[in-house]
Amino acid sequence: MSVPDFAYRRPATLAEALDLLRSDPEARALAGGQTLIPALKQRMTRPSILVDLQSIPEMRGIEVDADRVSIGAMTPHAVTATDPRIRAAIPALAAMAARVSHPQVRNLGTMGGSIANNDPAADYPAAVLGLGAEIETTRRRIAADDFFLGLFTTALEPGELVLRIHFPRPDNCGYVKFANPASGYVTTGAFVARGPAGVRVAINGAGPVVFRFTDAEARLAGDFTPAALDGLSLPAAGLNSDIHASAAYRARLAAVGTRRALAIALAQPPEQIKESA
Amino acid sequence: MDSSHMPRRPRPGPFDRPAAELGHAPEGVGRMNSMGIGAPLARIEDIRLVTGNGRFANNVTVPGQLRGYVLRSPLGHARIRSIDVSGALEVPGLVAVLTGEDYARDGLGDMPCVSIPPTIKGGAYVPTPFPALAVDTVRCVGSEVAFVVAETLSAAVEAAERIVVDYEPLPVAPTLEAAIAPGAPLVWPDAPGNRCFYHELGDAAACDAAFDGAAHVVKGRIRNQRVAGNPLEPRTCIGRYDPADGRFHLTSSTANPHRLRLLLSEHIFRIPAHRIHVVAGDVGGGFGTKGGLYPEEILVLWAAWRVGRPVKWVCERSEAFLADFNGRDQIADAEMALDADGRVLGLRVEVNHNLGSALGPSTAHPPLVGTRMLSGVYAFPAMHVKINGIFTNSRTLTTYRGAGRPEATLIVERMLDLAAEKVGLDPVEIRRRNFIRPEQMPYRTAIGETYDCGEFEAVTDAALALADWDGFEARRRTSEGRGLLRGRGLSCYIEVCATLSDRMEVRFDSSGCVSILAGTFSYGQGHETTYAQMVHDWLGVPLDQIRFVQGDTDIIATGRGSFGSRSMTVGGSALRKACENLIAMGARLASLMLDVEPEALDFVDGSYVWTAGDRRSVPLTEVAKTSFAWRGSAAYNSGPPRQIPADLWSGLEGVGHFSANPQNYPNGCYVAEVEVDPETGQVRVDRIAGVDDVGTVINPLLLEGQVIGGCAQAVGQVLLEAVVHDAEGQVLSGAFTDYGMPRAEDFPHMVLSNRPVPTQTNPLGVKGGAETGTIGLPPAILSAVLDALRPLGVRDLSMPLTPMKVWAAIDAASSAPVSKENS
Ligand SMILES: Cc1cc2nc3c(=O)[nH]c(=O)nc-3n(C[C@H](O)[C@H](O)[C@H](O)COP(=O)(O)OP(=O)(O)OC[C@H]3O[C@@H](n4cnc5c(N)ncnc54)[C@H](O)[C@@H]3O)c2cc1C
Repeated sequence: MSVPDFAYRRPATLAEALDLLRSDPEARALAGGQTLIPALKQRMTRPSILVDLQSIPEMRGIEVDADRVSIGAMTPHAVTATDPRIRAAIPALAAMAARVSHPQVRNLGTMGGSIANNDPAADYPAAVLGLGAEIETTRRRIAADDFFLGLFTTALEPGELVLRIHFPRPDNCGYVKFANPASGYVTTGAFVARGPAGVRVAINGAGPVVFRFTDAEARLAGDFTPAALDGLSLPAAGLNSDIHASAAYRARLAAVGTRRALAIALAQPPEQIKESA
Repeated sequence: MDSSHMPRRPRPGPFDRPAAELGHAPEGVGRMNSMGIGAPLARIEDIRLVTGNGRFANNVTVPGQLRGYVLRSPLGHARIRSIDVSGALEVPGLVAVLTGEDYARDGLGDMPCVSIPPTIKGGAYVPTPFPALAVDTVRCVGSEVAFVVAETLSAAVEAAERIVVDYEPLPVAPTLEAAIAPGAPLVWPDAPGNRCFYHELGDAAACDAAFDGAAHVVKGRIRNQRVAGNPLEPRTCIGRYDPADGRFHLTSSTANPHRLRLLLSEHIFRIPAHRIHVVAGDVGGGFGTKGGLYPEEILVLWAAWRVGRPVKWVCERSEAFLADFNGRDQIADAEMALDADGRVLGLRVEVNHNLGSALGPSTAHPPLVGTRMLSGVYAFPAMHVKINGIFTNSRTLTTYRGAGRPEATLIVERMLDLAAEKVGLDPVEIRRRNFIRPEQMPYRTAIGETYDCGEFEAVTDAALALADWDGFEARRRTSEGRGLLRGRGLSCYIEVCATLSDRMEVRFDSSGCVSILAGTFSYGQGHETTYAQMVHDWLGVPLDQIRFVQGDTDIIATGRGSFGSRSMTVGGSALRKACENLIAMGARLASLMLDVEPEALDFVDGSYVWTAGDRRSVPLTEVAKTSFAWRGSAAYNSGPPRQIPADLWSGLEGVGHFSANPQNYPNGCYVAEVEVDPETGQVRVDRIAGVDDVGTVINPLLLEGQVIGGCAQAVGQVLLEAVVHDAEGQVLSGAFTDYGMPRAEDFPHMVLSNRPVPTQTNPLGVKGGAETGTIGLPPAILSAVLDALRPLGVRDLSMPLTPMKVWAAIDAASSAPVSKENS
């Protein structure tokens, strides 16, 4: 399909990028382009200027300390999947990134682009919510619980950009994704984590937006074992339904996924940084 | 012997092609002629294709070319009240907007249907007007409404977005289920019940009698879903009208250039065929999808003629889900009668096949040809088959790899599984009791097909051994330990191949190199390699001196293309005859050169040899060069020069024709094992084994590639693929994000083998080898999944076996009281 005309800019500084985005209401930020470019090709969006975030230093790099893993918004999935520090600290996040689509998408698609887009079928929102991460933007810090608001909707205001995502290091974490048989995106996924913020279970793909599975969290809070999840189920009301998965099937996958994610969380604990380190 | 006649390799020079560009046989091939028939030669064409040197239609840019864009119907069924193109005309770069009214005014013909024979029951069917642009009614989402031609694609799309079409929506029957329901909306007013045609095979009375005496009767409804062909290369065409020669020139990604020219000349433009020139370069797959004629091929030529400039059209990926003709789509209601021992007494089948909204060239082929194979590899004494061709508000049906034979195989094999359960026999045993035995050959089935040869039980035993059928229980327990259900299934298939005639030509040039001019058309099958292997074997010419030519109607005298696994049989046998004719022609010149009577010469390893005499000889390549000699004299040794007669003095060539009459019947057996996750319904195919009898194997490597590819498509159809419509006829599976294509991770290692029983019906002994996997494997996978789910009480499932569908079946069975006794 032919792409409508647009201007392309690649600013070297954050200030310049924000200026460009302010200069024109139809200007759009471009990260990996793995969602935006297909939308252009389908002529679903007609931005005047694409502001490529590639060269902005604040959005790049990975920092790991004893408490946190901080990932720049422009970090491509391929890096998240293979970075040894992420793999050690939050193995479920690295494993999640490794299973996003194919190498081309992983080499270009970014964490910032993914969470800003907030596709209900995207993977990262489950990790961000499940781990209780904090999203640092050009204006503020937003808790994961306040960030994902609805279908393709986030707390980001016009012209506000995601700079970094700060993950608290968990004691345990596991993620299970049931992929859509056609697209490979998430039909339903479950992220189970235990850490400084307690036990958190996030379900993606099932509803219009990622959400916390509070029943599962309550069961696991005092008893982080498979037995605690016996008879776990999620009501199907309000869940998504499409040609690949009904709401009832998604509810089922959420429960099965939670149990399996817990098993991974128990079997593959992250490396903890020693006191001396 | 004259040493100057020994074949000599030319000295390497700057223009020589590196050896890497040519096919090579893998190490350790222990035959003298390691490049000829039977050698696992890697594909000669692959180097070109994988180094970016392919010449696909979209690689072609014609000076001055415009871009065409098709505005398609957004509705499943609607009357067109008006089309307002005024907004489009204002877009800069717009050249023309064409509509159905212009099409009618210019007197172009309708898309033809050439797949319903006059022998159809009642001698009649409901024809459908199918202009390349809809005139007053659209009957499916995606039908062509306007053709926009502009300087750039962007301008064309922009202009198309500004065309205002006023539609009056009409009731929609988008699926087979909807179209055969009582009181269904009519797709065509003159087709009551949405029925285009009705046909019958077999003997109703004999079948009734068989059912009367039956100990067991089983019934089944078998749904074979609609799938999209999805060739790797999207359809592309460039049309040009040249006022200098008064001809239409079409470059197309078609899989059948000569058929395309014939249809354009006879049905669309109604001009002599020589005024139409069709060229197809490299074509990236088709699977039947690209075999006929499409509206866009007409539109680019017609638009080019109207605007005086070439016009190119390239199908978008997601557009292909609306624009390409689809495959399969059948509901079969079957009843099988058996005696107490599980011998089949009779089979009744009524088939409803979805033809789509309008008839294309090959639309009726799948229902009419596939049903001929409903006896499978079994001696069913009585059969009666009813076939209904049904219109729906969906895209036109066409052939898709296997074309009707996968549907037939699924019916037969599923019914035997149901019968085995009912009679209480093992699925292998019930098949054994019903196989046609070798000593019954030739065998005429109850619906009139005559199989010439085949050893069905032996091929099945070979497949069972290859699959380690008996080792299943241990693997089942291992799966069980991991919380997974394991099942196994087998499927025996037979199909029919090699239709129509074809023409092949071998032609020497003045340097002693050969060109093969093929009437068939390879779009991924590897003919450049297999035909070269044959010619190498038969004429003794080195592979690097053989050139393969196809796909240009100005160069190839005539041809019928490649489909239905016909090329090795029909093309290969015609090529054999062409080589024989060439050898006979060359013998007359060799006789002059050697001074020996032509009848006394033998053709041995590429040379004419006087074996009965002093073994004097001359290589064919030297004879060929001599046939081009400027002065026209031939001489043996120091003998006197002889004048070459005129008919041997303008090059050496041979033309061969062949038609397979009777056709041939590839057959075999596939075994699948699956693991099912009972909590999520996810199916994983864990093992695939298959043994085919495709007769003589020309190139085992390429054959294996064909079979693996067919198996991949089988896994796709059984587990993933489906064209899905909503009640309004919208295509819900209109992109790869919703239409599930199989990926590498969906396949296990496939263990494949051959057990050839060469046929006597062609000089090579070959049977078709390109569709076995798509035909033979699907029932085995379905059967394996049902076998795995048997303990849970799941009795039936329809393809595709998506996780949700399998889970829903498990869920339903576990809440149904009857299933308790099984668990
Ligand atoms: C074939 C394919 C398969 C895929 N499969 C999966 C999958 O299985 N799971 C999955 O999770 N994802 C999948 N994706 C999506 C992909 O992984 C990316 O996450 C997604 O495309 C968004 O990231 P991006 O960097 O490409 O963003 P872009 O496409 O560049 O941008 C997306 C949106 O976010 C905005 N944006 C980008 N960066 C920022 C920022 N820093 N701050 C504010 N706004 C911003 C843009 O303006 C735009 O609106 C798939 C994509 C493709 C093409």
